[in-house]
Amino acid sequence: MTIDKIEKLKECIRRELDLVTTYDQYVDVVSCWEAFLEFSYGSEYETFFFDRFPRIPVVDKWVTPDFTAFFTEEYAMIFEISRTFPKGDAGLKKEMNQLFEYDKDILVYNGKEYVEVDDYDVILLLSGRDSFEIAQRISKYLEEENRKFSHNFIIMEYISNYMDTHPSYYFRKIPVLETTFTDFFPDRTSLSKMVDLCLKSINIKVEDMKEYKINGVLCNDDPPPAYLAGYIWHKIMYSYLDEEQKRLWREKNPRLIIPVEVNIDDMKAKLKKSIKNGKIRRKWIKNVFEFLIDCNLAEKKSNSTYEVRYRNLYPTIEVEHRDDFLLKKYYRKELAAYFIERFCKKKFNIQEKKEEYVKQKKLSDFL
Amino acid sequence: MKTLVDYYNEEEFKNLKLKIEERISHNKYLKLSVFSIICNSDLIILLKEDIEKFEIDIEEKEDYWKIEIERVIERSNIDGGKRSVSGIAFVEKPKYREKIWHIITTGDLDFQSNCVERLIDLLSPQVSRFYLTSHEIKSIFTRFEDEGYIIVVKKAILYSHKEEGEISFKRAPYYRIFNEAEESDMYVDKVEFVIMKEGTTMLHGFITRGGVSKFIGGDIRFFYEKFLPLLADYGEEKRIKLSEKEKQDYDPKPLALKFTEELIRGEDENRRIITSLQNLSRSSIFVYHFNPYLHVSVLDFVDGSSCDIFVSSPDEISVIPSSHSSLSSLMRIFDQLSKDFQEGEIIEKERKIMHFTDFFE
Repeated sequence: MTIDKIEKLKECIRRELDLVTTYDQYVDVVSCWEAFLEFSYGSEYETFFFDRFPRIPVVDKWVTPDFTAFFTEEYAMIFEISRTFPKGDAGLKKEMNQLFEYDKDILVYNGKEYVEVDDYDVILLLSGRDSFEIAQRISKYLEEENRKFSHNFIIMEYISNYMDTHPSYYFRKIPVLETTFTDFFPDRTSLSKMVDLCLKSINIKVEDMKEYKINGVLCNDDPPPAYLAGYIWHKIMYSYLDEEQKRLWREKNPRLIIPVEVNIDDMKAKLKKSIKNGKIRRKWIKNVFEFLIDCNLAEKKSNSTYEVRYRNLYPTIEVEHRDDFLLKKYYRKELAAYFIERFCKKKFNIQEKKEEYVKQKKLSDFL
Repeated sequence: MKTLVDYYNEEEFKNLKLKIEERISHNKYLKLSVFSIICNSDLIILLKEDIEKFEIDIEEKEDYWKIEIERVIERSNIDGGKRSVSGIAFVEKPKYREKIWHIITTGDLDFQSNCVERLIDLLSPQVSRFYLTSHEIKSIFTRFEDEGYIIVVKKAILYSHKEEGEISFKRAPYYRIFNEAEESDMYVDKVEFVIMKEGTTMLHGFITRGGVSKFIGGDIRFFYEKFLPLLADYGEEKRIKLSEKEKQDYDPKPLALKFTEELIRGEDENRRIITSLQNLSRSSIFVYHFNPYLHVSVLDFVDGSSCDIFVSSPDEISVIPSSHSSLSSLMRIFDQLSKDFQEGEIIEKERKIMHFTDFFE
């Protein structure tokens, strides 16, 4: 393997792993707000509904904010998360146009249907890394272009706290724009009072949001295939096995491959059921199967059917570490890294040292 | 290979026990090994099912079963391609803790590991082994000490939570072993001990972290009536905590391994926890988040169970079972974390209720 190829492989693995990390942080941010809003308002407003996967119909198309919160027909919140904004003016304009789409009196999902709401706020959540800089650019853009939101438009930043022994996410308002939250809630639960007037941060501990993350799993952006593939591999695929396949699968046999034919729509239904209020896009699942093909772990059978080479990936994913005493130790690689490595090797046509699996021909093989 | 004990044909278990005791007292190489397991259903019904490569004959006696087990092992590295292992085990009808069963045998190690343990393994998830922490093993001895017994450890093996390595002890007061384990960040894996009263040996026994005990000498009634119930109590405690924890209707039932100290302080501990989970046999892990908190999904190959593990507090590791998550799988995970990271107490987490103002503190 040439040095160039090695570098490309490393870069590919780093990039793909970074996508997984970034996506997971988005899922965290959504889960934090779900926890905060549900705990704070869930019991007070019977009609409260948190939509993790909004796909809101507007004329001839849909808009897809990152998440929405419906309180009553009088008030809702529309959220967009941005880790960063594009550098140039054109990129900024595109992002702002998207935010202005949310300003056009869009409908909000109440758990049953999309309904009109008297008033709603649009909240932009920016990563704390360059939030002030982006907020300044937005402010300047609105002034220069003479554009104004008809709804309250609030910019907040999110910061992951690395120092505390109880990890948490902080959300605080960036007071660059003079807009405030709608004064909808009573005094004792007033966001406007706490965030706008007192400039307090909302602090959500991972400890308190983790159950929301487990139930929500994804967010409204296209998940990186390795992320969703890992979830499907761990939580869904086993349900496709019949009793005999389950018996085979538990055998400690790394070479055993159980071919499982999976229909995209059936997988979509299973995935939807496993995620609370899940609205799963068909293309997300298609992307996963195409990714697994690139990992040499699936084969396309028809437009809607794939054969997944389900296997228990046991010793084949061992990886060598050196411990504190520089002794060689072997551990199994975690699944996302395993998928991504296979994907990148295929991409750059790098052959595995040895054929990793032997296809099972009959049930009694490998027993 | 069968022993003379295997030919005993008593109707009542108490008579069988006395004959076993007598036989063991005459043969210093003979020991009674006891595999204590959790079975939420009827173990005998499970054993009557067709288990591939096993031949099992069950003879029901008045208050116990005599079970003849034969396993054919087929492997290319065996002369002739296969061999068989067979022996006899006895199971008393559970009286004290209905879900804790003790499978006993005087069979050799080959029969124990290749037949009995393999069978227990194959019956998972309906059957689960359970582990005993160092603290629990120590508590068993402390209970006897409180009742005026003297306990002497004849041999003990301790393993480090962090590094490979072990310490072996020969003849020491029992508390010294456990103090040493605590001070050296180790766990007690095996103990051979003698429990005495007024100069008489009540029990010469052996206990492992994995829930296997041995009667080597002494009074078998003492072993059965005083010692095994204490062991069964710890199994039952874990059974109750880990049973029926599957998530239903998006309502998770979180568990945690709780430590007495704030041990988890950052990246290094998160890495150790991942390594510990990577060492769990027949499983795979998927890391969602590594730092500053840890979120890992674990898939158990034994029965397809899965759970999510979070480390977001310095004094506990949260284990949140998914909608398919068996007791035996959870037991394996807690056992692994206790060995490779640190021993703690399994707790069932209460649902926390938060209010608006809590998020602004």
